[in-house]
Amino acid sequence: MADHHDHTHAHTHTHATDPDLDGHTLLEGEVWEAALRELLLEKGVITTPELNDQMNRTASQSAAVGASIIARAWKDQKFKKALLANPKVTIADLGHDVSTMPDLVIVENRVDVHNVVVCTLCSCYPRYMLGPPPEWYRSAAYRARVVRDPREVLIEFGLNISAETTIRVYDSTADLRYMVMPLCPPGAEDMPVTHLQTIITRDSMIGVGLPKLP
Amino acid sequence: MAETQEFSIGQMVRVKRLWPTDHHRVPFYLKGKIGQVATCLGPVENPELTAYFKKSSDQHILYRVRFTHAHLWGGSQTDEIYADLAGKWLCEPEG
Repeated sequence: MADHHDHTHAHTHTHATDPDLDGHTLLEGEVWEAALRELLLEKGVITTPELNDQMNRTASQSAAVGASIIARAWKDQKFKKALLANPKVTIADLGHDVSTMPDLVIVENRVDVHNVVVCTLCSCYPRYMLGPPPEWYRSAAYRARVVRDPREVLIEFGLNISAETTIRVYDSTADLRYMVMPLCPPGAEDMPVTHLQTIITRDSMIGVGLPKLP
Repeated sequence: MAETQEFSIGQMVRVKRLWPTDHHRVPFYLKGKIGQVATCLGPVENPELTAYFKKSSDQHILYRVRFTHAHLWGGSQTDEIYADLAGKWLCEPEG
């Protein structure tokens, strides 16, 4: 056995600390993240500007992007038709940079069909449209239960779907990302787009909620 | 080119009971189950290779397959589950 590094000395030396960490002990995940990041940079797999660009992109993603696009579709039938038929191209035509966005499918709710999105194999999520996924979306409980018992799961989210309405669960097993186009709530049709986009919640675009009227 | 099993829209298909150890993008709850081809999503590279950054000319047709909740779980007669599955993971229902 190697004996050149018997770690038996009293453990009194101080570890290097980052002044911005306020002296907190790094969590295991943070150690892994730092190790991987530094290795990728050192080996030239990624560059610091690329890393910063990606962090900026991630930080600027939010469900407000999806909400503004859905609100526009509610008001403009021609746009809605194009969006459902060819989401990525239609979103690019609005001036969005979709070059790093995986292929997207938007499924439209109907009075008789309520759509819900899950990724049972991992946690695929339309980040470009909805921002980072909520923790519950990635949880084993949601992923296992929403395919097995969608009605019960939706009730837990506060959504009681009528027995006559089909619940259609989309399990995003391949490289396509799914999001839901909720129905415009009755009474909201005449609201301006700027107002409509504030009632279209993230959850309503995953399918576990409905747009919220004030 | 690998053999490419092709199916038509509306056709009933069975998800093959395969248990490979690599990147097999088929949820366990669908293995051996019968569904109906809803949409053909076009050719994709073999996910079992692309997952490991391996390039290949191995193309497979991706299908969106509709399963009924009643068939999968014996529950609701109205609810449905859709999943995107490559043709290589599907076969004829009696297969």
